[in-house]
Amino acid sequence: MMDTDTLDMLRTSLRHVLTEATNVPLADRLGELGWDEVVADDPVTALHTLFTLKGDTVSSADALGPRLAAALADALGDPQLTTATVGLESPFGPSSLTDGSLTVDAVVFTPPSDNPVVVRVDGEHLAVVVGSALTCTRLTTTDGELAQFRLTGTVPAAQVQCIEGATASIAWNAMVTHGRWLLACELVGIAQHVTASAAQYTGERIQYGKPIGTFQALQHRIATAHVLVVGAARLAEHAGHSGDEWSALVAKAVAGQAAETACTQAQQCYGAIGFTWEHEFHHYLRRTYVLDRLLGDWRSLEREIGNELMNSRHVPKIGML
Amino acid sequence: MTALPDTNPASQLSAEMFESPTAYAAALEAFLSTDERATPYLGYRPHSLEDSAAHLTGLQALLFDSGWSRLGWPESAGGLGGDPRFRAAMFQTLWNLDIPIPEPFTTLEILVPVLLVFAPHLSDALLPGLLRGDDKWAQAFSEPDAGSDLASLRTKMEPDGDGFRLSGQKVWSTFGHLSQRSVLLARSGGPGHKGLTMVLVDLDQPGIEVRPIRAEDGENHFSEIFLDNAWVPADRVIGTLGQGWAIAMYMLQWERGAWGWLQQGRFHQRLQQAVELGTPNAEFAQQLGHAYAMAAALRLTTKQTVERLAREEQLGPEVSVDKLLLIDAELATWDAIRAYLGPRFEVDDTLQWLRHEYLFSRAAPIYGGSQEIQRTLVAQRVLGMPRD
Repeated sequence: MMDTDTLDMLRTSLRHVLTEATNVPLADRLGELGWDEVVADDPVTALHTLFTLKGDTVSSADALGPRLAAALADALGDPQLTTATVGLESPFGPSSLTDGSLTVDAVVFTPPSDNPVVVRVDGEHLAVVVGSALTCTRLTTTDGELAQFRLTGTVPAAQVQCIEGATASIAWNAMVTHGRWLLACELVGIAQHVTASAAQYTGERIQYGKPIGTFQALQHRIATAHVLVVGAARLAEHAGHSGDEWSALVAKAVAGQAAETACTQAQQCYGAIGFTWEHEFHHYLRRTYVLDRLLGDWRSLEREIGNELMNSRHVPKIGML
Repeated sequence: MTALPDTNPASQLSAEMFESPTAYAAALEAFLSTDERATPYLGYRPHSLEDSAAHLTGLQALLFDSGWSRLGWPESAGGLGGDPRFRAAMFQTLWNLDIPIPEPFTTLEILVPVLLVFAPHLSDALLPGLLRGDDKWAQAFSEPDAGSDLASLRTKMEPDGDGFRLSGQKVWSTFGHLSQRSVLLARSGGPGHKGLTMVLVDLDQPGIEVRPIRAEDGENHFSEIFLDNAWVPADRVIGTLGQGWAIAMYMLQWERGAWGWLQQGRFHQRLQQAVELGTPNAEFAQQLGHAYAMAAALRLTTKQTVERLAREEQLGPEVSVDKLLLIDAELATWDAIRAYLGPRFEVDDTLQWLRHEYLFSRAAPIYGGSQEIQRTLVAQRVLGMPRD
């Protein structure tokens, strides 16, 4: 486990890496920090810190893509796939493997080159295909800065490696679980930043001769958000340490809701200035909307939780004394 | 750490249970689910609060005599040692087995930690009887004109010989009409916070009248206490004269933190019963999922609070976050249960007990410092928003 001083130094370095203006990929810049060793030493603390800071700084670097590939490679026991690009479900249509050919429609964060792309086909199998065989188009998104790309194309089955059955499902679920945890951390980072920043702003903005933060109407908005953010933070921490699927599902559900609530309440505290590009707030709002959609938005995840409770007739407990 | 209670042949405690709350909880669960003396309490559905109080006194005696409820309390006060996590583990185990928590346990969870610090002579002498259910206590802080604004309370406390006389009126005393004593906050000095003193007063004396108040669910959850020159000896002062407010603030970390853990066990258990009783229906999936997510958030947040209390950290205003999460989780849980079980919830005879708990849940944003007070505390004391 990392001690407090090491963690503080790591935070400072990561904050610098996440906010510096450069076109060098995040992975290369992290490499200079000796990131791989940090992750190998204490993966939960390292990744939790990185993704929470990424939310805090609204960094647009692609930290998630490489982690999804690493999780999938790890679950499949195939180290070559650590260089893969994982194609997430596309809102425009499914990927499928039929009649001797693979049809791809998937979303990624960094364009693939000649590295492998892994997509889920027909909701169960995994298909691996070389990235250069697919067409990559940048998407315009609610968040203009966090890049997302759509991969499309039809590839003859002979050029496709198919991973079938339970192996595929288990690996994909492990990747989703890892991704949900990291996204929960990032959403918590956003929610913490927005809540603290709005609280501070209400102490500076004077109306009627006093700081607007003295009004209970605003105090209660921020307190409401903070409570949900604390709950989300505890769940995200636990999801990291436990690594289990259910904890990550619940953590992402609460984190998405916490970030949206924090943004809604903060927006009203900022008033008109928060509605403009002269203020940083819009970055956080847009980022929340985009991240919440990845690997299940909070309303869908709550439905998933509820359906699981009803159908299994079992209410599990997360975390033991 | 401590000697096992070898005086009692019924004890099934072993040394390894003192090592971890998890091992203790597993052993307690095995005991309660197999020992026939515990059978009357499994799935017990009370007909009234008074029935429940009488019935569950037997459970308190069983848990005390066999040693289980003595873990987590110091040996000086009749406990067996170990930190508060053992108490938290006992509550979770009782909920897991659908055994109602005896109300006195919740009261002593709030009052006794305060006595251990500010009046150890009282906790040493009285905790065993309280834990065993021989003695029951209430808490008398609020007054008709002092609810959220507690520091404005007016019950007078005046010196008289080797003790004090109390006159005034208290209200919202949980379990008051079933209690022999009450921790009470009175005004021994001037106006404001500094004039307040906390005492432990006997309720069964001339000069005190206790009248139950019927709550929304039809049960006598709390009482009014009328004091007319009631007597309290000097050695029943908790802390020192004028220290009452500081002690009440110290109490909050238990009232808001440890209490939240206890309640999350209830929410998980009641959600479990709802999914056993109901018919899966996608219409209610999100509402149930939301309730569960809030209960899980409360569980992990209060787990950390219990662990901090176990390390004897002094908790600050952040315990109001626990209380606010409790409110959100409690309302979400019961609203989801009521929605999921449908129209039968209002009219099914077998769900009477669940309806009572539902109705009582409406008190969550009101008692123990209202939701508005808690939000103001979080905004000002935790987030540093300006005070007027």
